[in-house]
Amino acid sequence: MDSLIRLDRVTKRFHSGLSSEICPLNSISLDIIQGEKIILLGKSGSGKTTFLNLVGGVDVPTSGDIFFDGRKISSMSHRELAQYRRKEVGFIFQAFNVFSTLSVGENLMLPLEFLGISEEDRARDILASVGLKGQWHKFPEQLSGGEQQRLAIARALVKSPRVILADEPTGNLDLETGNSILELIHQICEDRNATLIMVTHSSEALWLADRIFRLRSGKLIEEHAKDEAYMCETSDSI
Amino acid sequence: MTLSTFIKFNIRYYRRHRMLSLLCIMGIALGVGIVVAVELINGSAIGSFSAYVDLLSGRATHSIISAHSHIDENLFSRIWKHPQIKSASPLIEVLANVVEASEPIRFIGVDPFLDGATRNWGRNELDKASLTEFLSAKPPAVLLTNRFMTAHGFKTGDILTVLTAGIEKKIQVIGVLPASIGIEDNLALIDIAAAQEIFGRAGRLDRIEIIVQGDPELLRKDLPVDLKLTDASSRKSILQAMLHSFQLNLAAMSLLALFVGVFLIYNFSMFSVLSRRQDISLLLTLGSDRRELVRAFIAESLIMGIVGSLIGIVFGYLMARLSIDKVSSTITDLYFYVNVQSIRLTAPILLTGMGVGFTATLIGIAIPALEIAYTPAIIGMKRQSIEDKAHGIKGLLFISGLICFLAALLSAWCSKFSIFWGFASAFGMTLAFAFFTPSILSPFTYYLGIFSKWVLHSVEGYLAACTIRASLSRTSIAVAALAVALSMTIGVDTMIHSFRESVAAWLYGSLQGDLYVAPTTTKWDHPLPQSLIKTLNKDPRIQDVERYSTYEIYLEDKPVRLRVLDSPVLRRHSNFHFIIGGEGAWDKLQKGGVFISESLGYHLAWAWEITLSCLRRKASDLFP
Repeated sequence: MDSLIRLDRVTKRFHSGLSSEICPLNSISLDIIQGEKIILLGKSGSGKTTFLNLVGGVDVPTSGDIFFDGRKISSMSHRELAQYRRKEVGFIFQAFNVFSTLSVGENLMLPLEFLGISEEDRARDILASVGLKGQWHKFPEQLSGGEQQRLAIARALVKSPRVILADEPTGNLDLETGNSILELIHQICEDRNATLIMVTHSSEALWLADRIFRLRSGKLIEEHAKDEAYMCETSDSI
Repeated sequence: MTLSTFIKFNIRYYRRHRMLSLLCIMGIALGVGIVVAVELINGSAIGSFSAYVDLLSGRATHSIISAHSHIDENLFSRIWKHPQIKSASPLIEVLANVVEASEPIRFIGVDPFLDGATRNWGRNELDKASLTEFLSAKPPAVLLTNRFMTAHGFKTGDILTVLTAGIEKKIQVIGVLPASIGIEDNLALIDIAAAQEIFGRAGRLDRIEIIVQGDPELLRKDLPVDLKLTDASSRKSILQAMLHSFQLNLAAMSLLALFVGVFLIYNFSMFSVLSRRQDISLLLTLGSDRRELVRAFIAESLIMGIVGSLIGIVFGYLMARLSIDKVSSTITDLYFYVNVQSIRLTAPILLTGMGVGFTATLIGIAIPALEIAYTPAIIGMKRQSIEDKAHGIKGLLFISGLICFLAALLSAWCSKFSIFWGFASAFGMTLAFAFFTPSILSPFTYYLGIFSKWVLHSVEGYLAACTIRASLSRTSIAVAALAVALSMTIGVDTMIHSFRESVAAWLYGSLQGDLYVAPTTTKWDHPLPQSLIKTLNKDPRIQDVERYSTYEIYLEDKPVRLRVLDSPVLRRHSNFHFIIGGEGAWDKLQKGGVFISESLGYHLAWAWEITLSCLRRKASDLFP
């Protein structure tokens, strides 16, 4: 099967101070197919978010190439990258990142507006599917943390992206709410055949992964079993 | 993002930051308001002055004026018959007080038979008001402007009192000047013979307006040596040039206010960008185009600019309305009589106000817009990185400040060539110190923090100092704006104080009298009655009486005030400091010499021999 996302010897370096340099991603290669659910583990600062930023087209690699559906996104112009993020990528963040000055409905319509779509019914349907029916006119500050994250998920999904990038989506939520969010993400990805790349510290999320990877010293290491990943995750946490 | 979402997005943001938004709008309004006020005042003053000069000149191609104020009436017939002259009209122009109106009015004395060829109010208009009555009414007849009559409730047939040299003279209103003359100012038209009688100018004319039909140079050659032929446009342009420096002063002040306004706009814009950096990154992540974001930011800033400009225009209009009287009287005191009765908010001034508001806004938001253009889509980039940049460029800003400072010094040196360089120097200096601000503020707040912590034992003070230093990108701009505003206030105050000191020194040096007796009418044109001088001289309570008169003469085509006085009396009481000449100058003065002021000396580039001989000759012509 053809890969949807392909990383070919991708390296990312940052300058830290005048002389030192850090390299969170060092010649990483990976193929991800349509509908696959990937979980990325690693210590803080190991380069997990950098990985998402590169795949999401909000950052560019120092070397190597990234392909999406055969198109090289690592050499796209700013405008092409904006188009790519607008159409193909849905972001879910740990800190929700919803616009506090816009209502729930306006937050949800924003990605559609970027695409020139004005189908409010579509947005209302997705809002209902994340359990926020009737909250259209409320403002984010009137919602709980779990509800805000549901709104963020709805916003990521409303444009039907082919890839969803989730950066510790349950990091700011309690266990019960976190689990319900994970189930929601899994369900939606299954229903829409969306590819999911999720960064998490939570062992509770491992069940939904098709493949699990760990970032360590700039290298991407695939975990062969969920139990193995769980054990490593536990030891990492310690 | 659709327009409605964009508007909601921003309106809600501005609602949350009401005070900052208000400050930004007020910054724009302040700058635009002062520029509009100055434009209105300058435009109205020039308009009033130009309308008056145009009215007086009419269709005249040239004017004949005297180098020492008045033309002998007997010369008129000779001039009129000159073959190069098609028509000529004698004129008397006097500023006098009408007692019933309690304000000055300009009397124009014309010969209605000769004036028709030159001006619109010729015989046709006078026919309506009865030419016979105009020429022979007792008391003398005048036509007044409609505005002056309405303002004071005068009507045709009213007898008014003119106060001239302490003597009351009666005049009779016989009609209203037609609106077609284009002047609403305080103006009275009177027969020239009546004007000579009322204002004590028998046998004298102020000016002769002529229409030349041949070569003006031939006429110029034939004129007596003390008469000058000036063409209508050059006279107007000389007077306008005199007004120019005054207007330049006002314009420079308004630009400094605009300068402060730009700082306020920048500070608000930078704050709004930095506080929404997270949102900007998020919008980019969601697929917004960077150019769209910059465009949206510029659009929202320009909306603020429009609101600020509109408020500024209203503010400027009100300011102009409130200050026009003061400015008019200042121009009258310094240069020539203007009487601005109304200010008109014309389309060009409106466009200027809007343009200034837009330009100031665009300058103020340029750097914040660049900040958006380079904000990465990566969520969570720390604000500190911007401050790192601000700290990084403070050295560069210091060097820029140094360049501005040196350029300002150079401009200051060049200011002797043109006043423009003086203002350029002031702006350069202001800009230089604005650039120095981050370099000064950073170490200052660092040591202030240490001082607060270790000497004052104030953690709050330490944190405050650290915060100022940590937010250098904005705090330095706020400090620079405050510094500019403060320096402007101190600068203007120093300037005014210096003027006052100069006036005080001049009063101390030249005016030693305890009492001053002067006519209440035109400042210098009316001689006081001889009987009054005699009475004063005989009064045992009076130690000395110094008589003096002031005349407007022309020196190198520019009007100069010539003061004629009792030099022995002045010498006894004055305390002059001579730059050139020393105490021996007093003897030379008594032998027909003249003193000239320092400023006139600079103006004439110290062309001593020419200036002095020229003045001496003219003075002796006047008073042989």
